[in-house]
Amino acid sequence: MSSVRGAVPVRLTAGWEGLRGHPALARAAGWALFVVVALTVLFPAFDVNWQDCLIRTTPFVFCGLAVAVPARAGLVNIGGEGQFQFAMVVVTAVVLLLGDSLPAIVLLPMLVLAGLVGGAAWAGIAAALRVLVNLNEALCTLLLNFVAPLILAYFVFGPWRDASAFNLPVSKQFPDAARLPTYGLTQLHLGILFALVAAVVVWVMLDLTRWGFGARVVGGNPEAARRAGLPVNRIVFVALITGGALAGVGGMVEVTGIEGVLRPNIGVGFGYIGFLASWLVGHRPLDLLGSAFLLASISVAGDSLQINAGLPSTSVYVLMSVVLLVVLAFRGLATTRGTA
Amino acid sequence: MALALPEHGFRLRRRAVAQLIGEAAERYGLKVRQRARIRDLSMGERQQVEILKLLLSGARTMILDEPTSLLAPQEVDALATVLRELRDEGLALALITHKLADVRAMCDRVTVLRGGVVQMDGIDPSTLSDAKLVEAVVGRHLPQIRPRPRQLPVDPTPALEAVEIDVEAERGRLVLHGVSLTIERGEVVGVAGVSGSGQRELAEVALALRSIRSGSLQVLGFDMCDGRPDKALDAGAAGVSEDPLATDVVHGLTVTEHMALSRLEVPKRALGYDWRALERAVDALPEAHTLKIAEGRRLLSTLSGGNVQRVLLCRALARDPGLIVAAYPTRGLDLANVMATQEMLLRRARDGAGVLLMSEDLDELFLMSDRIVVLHGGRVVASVDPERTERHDVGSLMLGLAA
Repeated sequence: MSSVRGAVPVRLTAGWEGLRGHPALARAAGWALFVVVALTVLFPAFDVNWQDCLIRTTPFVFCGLAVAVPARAGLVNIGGEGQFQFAMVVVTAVVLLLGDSLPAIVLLPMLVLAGLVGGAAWAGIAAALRVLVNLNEALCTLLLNFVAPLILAYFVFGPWRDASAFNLPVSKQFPDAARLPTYGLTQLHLGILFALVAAVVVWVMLDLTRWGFGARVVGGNPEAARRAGLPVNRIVFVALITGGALAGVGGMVEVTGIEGVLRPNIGVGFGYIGFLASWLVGHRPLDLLGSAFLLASISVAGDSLQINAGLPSTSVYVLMSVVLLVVLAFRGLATTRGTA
Repeated sequence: MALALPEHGFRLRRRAVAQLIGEAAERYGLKVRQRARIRDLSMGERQQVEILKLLLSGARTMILDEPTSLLAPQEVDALATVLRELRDEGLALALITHKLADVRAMCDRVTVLRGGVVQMDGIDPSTLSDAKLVEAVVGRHLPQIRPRPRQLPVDPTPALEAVEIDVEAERGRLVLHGVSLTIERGEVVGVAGVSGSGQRELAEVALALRSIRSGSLQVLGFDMCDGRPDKALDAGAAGVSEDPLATDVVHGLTVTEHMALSRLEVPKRALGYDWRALERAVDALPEAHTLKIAEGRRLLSTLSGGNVQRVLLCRALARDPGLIVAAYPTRGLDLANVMATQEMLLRRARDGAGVLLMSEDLDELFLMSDRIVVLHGGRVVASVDPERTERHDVGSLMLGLAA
C-alpha cells in the first residue's frame, strides 16, 4: 500500500491519460481515492467508526482470498463460509487443549497453523471429491457450508459448553495467551496485519510464481494444461485447499482477535461477502483489499443506519448485491462490446 | 418408461401420443419400440426414432449427414429400405456420405464436392463407374513428387512403435482396432483416411493423451500405455494438434507464455519464469524467423487461425523432438508458409526425427511421406509406398473399397 500512496499524487498530476496504460495503477489510485473519501467525508457524515471498518475488513479479505486462489485455476469456491467455521472449531480445540500451558509466542503461531489446517481440511473434502470423482467443486463447497456450523454447534452445545455461562451455548473464555494482541487501547488487532500480508503473499503466489502460471493455464484451458504435461489434478487440489486454508486463518483471526470464545453465529455470512468481494475485483488479490474495505464500510454503516435511520438490517445486503450486480453487468457489457 | 418422442401440446397425453407414433411408424414402415429407453436402443434404432420424430413434425425435406457411419451392415440395409419408402412417399432427401456403397444403395443423383468446389453435379450414380467417382472425390492431377533419398535410421530405436493397439472412445466404442504402426527415426509416415476414421485418436495416442485398452505402445523407446502426456513430452515427442483453438490456446496468455507450455526449457527467475529471456530465446529460433511468428507480447487468443498455427508449429519444433505428430500442420496457412512448414518437417526427418503426418490433402501426403497408411473405420487397411501407388488406389482404400 505504501508504494500506492506514493504513486497516486504523481499519477494524478500526470492526468488520467497517464493512467490509461497502467490499469493496475489506475485501480490502485481508484481504491486509494475511495479510502480517502470514506475516511474524511463519508464516515463522519454517517457516523461510522473507521476502526470497526478495518476490523470488519479483515475476515472479508481472508474469505475473498479463499475465492481468488481457486478462481485462478478456474475453480469456484463458495465454501469460504464453511471453511471459516470449521477452522474456528479446530482453533478452539487447540486452545482448550494447550491454552493454559503455553505462552502466547508459542501458542499464537500454533493457532494460525490450526486455522490453516482446519480450513484446508474442510476444503480438502471438496478438493478430493473433485479430483477423484470429478464432483463439481462449487456445489460441494456450498453444501459443506451447511455442515460446518452443525459441527460447531455440536461442540458448543455439548462437550465444550461452559458450565458457568448460565446455560448459554458458549465455550470457555480463551486465556489471554490465545488472544491476538491489540494496538494500544483500540480494538485493532494483529489480524489486520495478517490480512495485509496474506493478500501480498497470495498476489506473489498467483502472479509471480511458476505455480501461479500453471494455475492460470489450468484456469484458462484445462485441456491445454494437460497437453502441456502440467499436473492438472495436483494444481486443482492445491488451489482449493490453499483457498480453504486462507478462509481458515480468517476464522482463527475472528475467534481469537474479536470473540475470545467459541459460540454459534460467529461470522455468519462472511464467507459469502468475501465471495462478493473477490468477484467485484475479478479475483485480483491486491484489489481485494479495496473491495473488502468497501463492503466492510457498507456493513458497518448498516449497523449505524439501523440505529439512526431505522432501516432494516437486510438493507445492507440489498446494497451490497446492487453494487456487485452493477459491476458485473458493466464488466459483461465491456467484454461483449470488446468482442463484437 | 420414457416416451421416445418429444410430447406435443400443453399436457403430456401419453396415450394419444403413443397412438400417433404407432400410426406414423406403421405408415412409414419404421420399427420403433415405444416403451424402451433411448439409451437401451441400438444406433440403428435410435436413428429410426430420429427419422420418425422429423416425420411427425411434418418435415417434407430431410438432410441426413453421414447416417451410416455408426450403423452395422444390416442396419444400413434397413435404413436404405426406409429411405426408399420415404422417397416413394414424396419426400425429398439429401444424403451426405463418404461411402460409395451408400451412394449406390440409396441415391438417385450424386453431387461431389472437393475443397468447397462442385466436381460433378446431379448425376445418376448407376451411370458412373467406381473409378470415375473416386477420381471426382480425390482429384486427378498428379503431384510432382520430389525425389528424396531414403536414409537408414540414425537411431535404431523407432520413434513410435505401436503393436495391436485398441483404443476406446467415450462410452466404450472402439475407435482404433488392432492398429500396428512403426515409425523409424528419419521416416515420415502419412495417414490417409476420410475424416473420423481414427486419425485424431491415433495422433492423441502417439502423444500419450489417451490411454490404450490393449496392445503395446512405445514412444522413442519409452512405454506409453497409460496415457501420461508429460511422459511423452519428456521422452521427446511433440505435436501440432488438430484443433488448436480448443486444445492449445489458453485465454489470456501471451505468445511467449504459450511457448512455455511444452516442457521447453524456460529460464527461471526467483520463484517465477524469466519471460524476457524466453522471448529472446524464441526470437533466436530459426523457425520463428522462417514462420514469422507474432510478437511475443500479443495474446495468442486474439490472433488469427494461421498465426496461431505458426506459433504452435514453432513451439513443437523448438524442442528438437524425436517424434513429431503433425495433425494437419499446414491447415490455415498461406502457400508460402505451407511450403516453409513442409520443408521444415522434412528437414527434421532428415535429421533423425520420426514424423507422423495427418492431412486432408492427398497431395501433401504423397509429397512428404515415405509411407502412407490408410485408416478406414479405425483399422489400418493398407500401408503403401507413395512412389509406387496411384492416388486413385489410396482414394479407393479410404472409401472402404478394396484396391
